[in-house]
Amino acid sequence: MRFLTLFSLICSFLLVVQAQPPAQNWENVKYERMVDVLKSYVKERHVIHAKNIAVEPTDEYYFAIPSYLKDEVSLFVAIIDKPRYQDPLLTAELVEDLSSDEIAYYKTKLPYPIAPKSEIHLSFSFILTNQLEAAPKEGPMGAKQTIFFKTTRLALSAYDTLQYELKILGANEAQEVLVDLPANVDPEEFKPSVQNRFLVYGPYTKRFKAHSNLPLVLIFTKIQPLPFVHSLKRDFWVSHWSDSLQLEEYYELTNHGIQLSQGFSRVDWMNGKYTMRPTPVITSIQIPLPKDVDTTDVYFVDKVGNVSTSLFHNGELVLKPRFPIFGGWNYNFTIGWSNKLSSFLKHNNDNHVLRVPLLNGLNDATYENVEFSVYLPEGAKFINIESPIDYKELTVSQEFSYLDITTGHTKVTLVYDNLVDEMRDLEVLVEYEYGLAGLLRKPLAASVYIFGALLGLFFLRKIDLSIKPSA
Amino acid sequence: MASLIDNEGYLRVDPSILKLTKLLLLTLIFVSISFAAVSSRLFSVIRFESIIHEFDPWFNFRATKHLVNTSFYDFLNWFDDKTWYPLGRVTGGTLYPGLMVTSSVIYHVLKFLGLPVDIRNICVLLAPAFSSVTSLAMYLLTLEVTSSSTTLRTKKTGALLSAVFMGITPGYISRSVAGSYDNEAIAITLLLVTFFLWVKSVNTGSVFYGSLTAVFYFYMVSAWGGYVFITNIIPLHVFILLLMGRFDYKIYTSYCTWYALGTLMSMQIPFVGFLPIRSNDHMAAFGVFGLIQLVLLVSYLKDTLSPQKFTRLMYAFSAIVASVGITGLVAATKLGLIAPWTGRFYSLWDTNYAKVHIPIIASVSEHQPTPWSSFFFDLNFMIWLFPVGVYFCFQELSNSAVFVIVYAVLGSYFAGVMVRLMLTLAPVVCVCAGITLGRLFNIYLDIREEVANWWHDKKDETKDSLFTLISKMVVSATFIFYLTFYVQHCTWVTSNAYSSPSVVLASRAPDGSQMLIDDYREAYYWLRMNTPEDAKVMAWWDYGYQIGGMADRTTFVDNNTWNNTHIATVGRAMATSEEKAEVIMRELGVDYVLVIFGGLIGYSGDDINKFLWMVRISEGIWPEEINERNYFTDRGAYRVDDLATDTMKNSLMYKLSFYRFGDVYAGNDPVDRVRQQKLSANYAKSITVDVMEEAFTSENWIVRIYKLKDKDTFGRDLIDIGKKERKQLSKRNKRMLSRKKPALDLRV
Repeated sequence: MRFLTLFSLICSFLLVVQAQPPAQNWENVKYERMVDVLKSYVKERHVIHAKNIAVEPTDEYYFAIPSYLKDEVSLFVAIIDKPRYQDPLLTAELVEDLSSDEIAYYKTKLPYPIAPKSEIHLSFSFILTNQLEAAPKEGPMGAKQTIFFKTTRLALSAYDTLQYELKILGANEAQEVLVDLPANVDPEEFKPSVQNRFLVYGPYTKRFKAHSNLPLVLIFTKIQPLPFVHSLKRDFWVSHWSDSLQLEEYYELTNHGIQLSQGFSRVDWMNGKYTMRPTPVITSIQIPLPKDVDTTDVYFVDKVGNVSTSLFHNGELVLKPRFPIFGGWNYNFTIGWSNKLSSFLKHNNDNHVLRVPLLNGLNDATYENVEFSVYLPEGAKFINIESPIDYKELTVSQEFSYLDITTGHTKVTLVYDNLVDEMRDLEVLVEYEYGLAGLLRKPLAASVYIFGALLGLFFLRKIDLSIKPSA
Repeated sequence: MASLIDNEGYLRVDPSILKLTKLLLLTLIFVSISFAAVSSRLFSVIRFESIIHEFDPWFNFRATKHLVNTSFYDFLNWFDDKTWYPLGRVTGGTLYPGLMVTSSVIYHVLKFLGLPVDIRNICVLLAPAFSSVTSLAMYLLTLEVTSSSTTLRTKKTGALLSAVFMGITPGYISRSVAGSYDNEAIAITLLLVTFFLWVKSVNTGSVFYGSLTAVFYFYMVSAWGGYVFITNIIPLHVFILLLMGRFDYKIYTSYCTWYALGTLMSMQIPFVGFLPIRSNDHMAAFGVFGLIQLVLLVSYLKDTLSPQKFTRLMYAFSAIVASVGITGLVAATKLGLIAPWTGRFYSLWDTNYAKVHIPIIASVSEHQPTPWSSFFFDLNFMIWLFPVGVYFCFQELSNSAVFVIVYAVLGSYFAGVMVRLMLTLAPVVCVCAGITLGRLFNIYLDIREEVANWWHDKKDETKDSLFTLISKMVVSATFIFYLTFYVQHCTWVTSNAYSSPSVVLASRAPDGSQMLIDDYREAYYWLRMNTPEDAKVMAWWDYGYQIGGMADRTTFVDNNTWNNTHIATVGRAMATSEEKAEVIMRELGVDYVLVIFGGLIGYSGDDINKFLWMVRISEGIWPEEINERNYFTDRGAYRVDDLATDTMKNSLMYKLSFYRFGDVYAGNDPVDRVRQQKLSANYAKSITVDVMEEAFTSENWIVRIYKLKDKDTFGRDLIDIGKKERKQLSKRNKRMLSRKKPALDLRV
């Protein structure tokens, strides 16, 4: 027992020792950072020109983010722009061992070792969810929504930076919240300017030491609501017989925007005509429908039945929830529609490949939890599923639906967390085998059962149950 | 050889083909009847959606979901802490589980067969599905009743007609449209099946049919409180047969079988328990059971003893039986072994009893006495065919005809007492109308003789038969017209009167298109989504089941009106002033209060119109505090405008209904469109609510939800705070407020 404690102590000590920053192999010659807060989440793009200052070639570049953002990163894409390379996408993974309380590192594997003194251009794009927060949290109906947004002011890098620029989109009239700056920093030096639609800090041409972590807190006005989907269940039903692909989505939607400080007063709502102008309240939900294919049988229901207020507008389905969704209010609903299966399916003999979008849904939303399922027809054999982004969990199970008598539908489920609406264009590929035998299995099984039942009835009728004395 | 023309010129057809054709025709007719019965009940699904209607069905639906999600025993042991807060309800032991079990069995069977139909759809479509079974049962019943008839040649005509009548009569449709998931949905079917089996067992004297009667009686007991109707009508039938001297072993066998088995089985339902041997409702059946044994004994003695001895024995015997019986009854009542005469019992005999003594029963609209017009509305031309049918039964006076007569008398009486009991009258009316028309068509549609005369050109009879023919044609045509009209009337009534879910209201937009007023669901869904899961919602009991079913929140009172005091407490909170209401609400643990207000769009079923019942019910318990007279003006008018009495103006319900109502009209005088009363703008502005805060109001203001404010941190009175705040609005502010008139957009 004692030994164990000692052992674990040593281990943890070793870990602490290990959590040291990566070696200073690089120098950022130029660091451009772009932050986009137009939507309900934050998009960042870092363009870095880095030079190998080590004596040996190296094929690793470490990218740093503040540690508190570690779990909020939704999509992380690292690309090498220069030197040109066939497959510019780089693999990047969070290195837990190196992360400290303040800084976490992504290790990027370069395609080949870069020689000393040579320069590469990298770009890192990622999406951060849960960063925008209404402050004050509450206000009367019609109050302006101000957003509190915390980010970093400088290039938080594992390496020294020579030139740095920060551009923020969507926060023009932002006010900076004064935070205690270290003594050696001159506040005047970091005054922003507004250029075009950007709030620009810099460019600064001076040497920023590695790991310069200086917070920047902005407050700006945002008219749009902050839609947030706690849970999305997304079910595709594949039917070869009717050549249809049915989609049903169940949303648990909430608004992270400003909340009502008092109860909801209908008369103020009516008199203020809030439905006519943009407010931080969700009064309608736009759902773009699949392009270039016919969409039929659209429905919009919630847990108490059909919601009759929905309409089509420019290829979009416009849903009007039963009540306006203020900050902190929830609304759960289900929508669904059908498409022609052939527009989503490619096949080679008995092998079929289904290509469906990862998300449809809202134009601006963060998804905390997404359960993506495909129900293959009864008798189909699931082969493979390919997801463009990492998923948390993959399960294959059987689900019995209408007239499933033998094995039921094969349900393939992918669980994701922390997605955003911009991943709409990503596609999931499902490969399965489904031949003539599978196609005929269901009707045959059903007919056999019906035949059996009729035969049973026929024989039952032959049995004389009467208790009259035989004549 | 299927058919040939014989030497006399008649077409001869193989009997087996005829039989087959007959079977085919009969099947076809039944398919058509089922189709008509089911499809005419689907108006609401087509116009609105597959949704549970009204109030009670929402509880049944919720209970069914509970049953489907748990096991049967869990269901019977279900203690529901989401209703009757803080008391809770032993739901499993206080409901008739037949309906829920039926739907859950259907659900599981369909699931087993590979058809996982959503439980909601099963519940919605249960009533229409059972209505087609009802028509079949009606056919069998009428056929059985007329089976011994000597005058009727083709019995099936009448039986089929009665089946059609039953399938589409509004009296029955009113309780069995799709979505009306109430006990009556299956109970009427079971009632008819039980009656059919009873008549059959009386006719045959078979133990088998007697037992079957008992089985279906048990099913009926498990499904509807109205089973008492069967419990009394069968003994009455037997009793009258005994009085008529019709005692025989067939009656004895079937009654004893039914009573013994039926009573034992019915006691298995937790809600019924020992009622069959305790409650007065069941005494008739018990008494007749004893009587029939005595009659058996007497008839045995009569056969064996000499007449003098028998007479003497009879006197002694009847004296003993009478005295023992009466003392026993009185003693048992005194000792509390059997239940005293209940209020519902009295209200069946004296229609004013409930209104005077038990306002809670009288407050239900379906417990009101039936107006004359609704007989025609619900039964159309059958209402005048009905007495004719009863007359025919008197002519016949077979055992089964006596049953119809007994049923007709009881049914008519009860239908006159309560609107909802029209439902039990409808079947017997259909039987009688079927018998009448069957008989009529038997005679008047039979024109073979006349045609034959004309065909063979018998000169002397042709003229005579021509007149007969014409008169027959005219009578038949008239009745065929009535039948067509009946179908039209039924469809019209069903479509216009009985197919509204009442949860969703339909109205017309200015351009004539249909517009749905979905305020109930809007508000209930808001409650469900945006209040804590354990929030307690106080509303008048009408909405209890809906709040439980749609909003999934805890309620204080609901449509299962078992605790009058609790309902009166809620009524008192609504009827009394804000100060007193606050105390009551804090004691009860109220979080939200929900009121229905129709004044803005003119929805007449709102709480202000129901308010007097709240007043009356709470007055029954607290007469010193609540007085109905105080809510009327000196001239006896029920006013909600400036002239309303102070008691009215101060009552919580009034304040919650009209709070900020004036602001919609932006300086103009607001009009309550239900009461057609105009409030002055200044007065409307002075209606304040201090202890509560408006939490939500639906789009058309039908549902208004208020949240009880937390107690003041400094222990001040919330009303005082409100008063002070209003005083602090300086004169200038007030002037500013009155000048500011926001643009008016009135939404209807």
